[in-house]
Amino acid sequence: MNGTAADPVADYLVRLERALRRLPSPRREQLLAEVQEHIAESRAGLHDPTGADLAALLDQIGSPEDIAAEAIETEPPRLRRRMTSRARRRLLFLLPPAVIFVVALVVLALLAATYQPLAFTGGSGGGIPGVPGPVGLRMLDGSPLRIDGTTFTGLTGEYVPPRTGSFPVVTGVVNRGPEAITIEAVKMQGPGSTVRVAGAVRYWPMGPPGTAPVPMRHPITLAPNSAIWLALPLAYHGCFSSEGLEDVGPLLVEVRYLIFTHWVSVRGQPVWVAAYSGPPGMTCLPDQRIGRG
Amino acid sequence: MHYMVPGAAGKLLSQMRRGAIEYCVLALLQTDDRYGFDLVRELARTDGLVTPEGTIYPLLSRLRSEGLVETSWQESQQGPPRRYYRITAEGRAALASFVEQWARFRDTVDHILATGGAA
Repeated sequence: MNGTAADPVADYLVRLERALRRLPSPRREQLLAEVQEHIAESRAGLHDPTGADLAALLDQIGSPEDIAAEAIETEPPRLRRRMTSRARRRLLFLLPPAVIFVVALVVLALLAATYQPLAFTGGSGGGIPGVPGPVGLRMLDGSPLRIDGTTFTGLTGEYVPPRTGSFPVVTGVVNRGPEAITIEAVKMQGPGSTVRVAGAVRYWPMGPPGTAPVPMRHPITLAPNSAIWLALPLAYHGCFSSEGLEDVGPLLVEVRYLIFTHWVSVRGQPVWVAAYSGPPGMTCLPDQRIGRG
Repeated sequence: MHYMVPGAAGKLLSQMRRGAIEYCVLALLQTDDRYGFDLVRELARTDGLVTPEGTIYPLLSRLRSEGLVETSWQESQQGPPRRYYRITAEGRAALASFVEQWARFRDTVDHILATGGAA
């Protein structure tokens, strides 16, 4: 009897190969070969076997499904897990939503981390309620500004001349977003070489005049559409040149939304101070002169 | 009162067989190398150990992948070359460990079954 379609052995081997298809290829081929060898050995003991003889022989070997089940059962756990088609289908089913969820989470985190509803709403320079205002402050509207023989034109904002004491830069900020934010800290992008931060930031609500400012000791929660004044005291380092002016730059506010913090630049009107240029022509304030006790 | 039904007995035998048969294979290979058909027939002669015969080959495959047995081809006077199985050193160590544990297990079970747990 040979391996034709009517041959029960050929049919059996086809069924066995199909039943073993979930096994890794090398193992499947090895098992097929070994069962084939077994059948060949068994057949060799039969003289001119009939179909019934072959059927009995195959019955003794067992059904292809039983052999495949045994093979899968005895696979190492790692391979068996890999072969579990149901688990694989479940993974394929869950993978797209999981990817979408992770991507959405990343996008939301990026949006939250860059959430910038804080905006300038007025002010700059000026004074702090209850504190004497800066002496010599000059408002600039583009008209020529003459300082110690040097004329500056086209400047807007305000000019704070050199002084020994501190002076406040006051900026109004408002939360334009729909969510509350928290202000963690404030600093100036400047001051450059001429001025320095000279004290704690103060804040007070933008509302009734004369409201007393409080030092910024704790994070400030700013509700939607609410505004506050932020006052940052600055002072001249001591040495400057009146031949040049520099802008102290925008106010930088550290904002926290949820767990994310970042710095927001709030640009009000420029605040000009005398620039440092170094000798010759440098002037130093009396109480800051080098060598003075 | 609970009676064990034939189906349950068959399942129990299957589970016991599953736990012990690989060591029976290793034991058969202790003294001589054997080819698959020979191994299967030897095991089949013992009631209940291999049913059906074809299911021994997945086990042999696993024993080989675990390094407990190794194979080689040898010429046969009766026909084509045969794949012979040989126990490895790791296989002998695994068998020795099983023999020790099996003896203890068997004695314990025999004792409890015979005496009902009485010392």
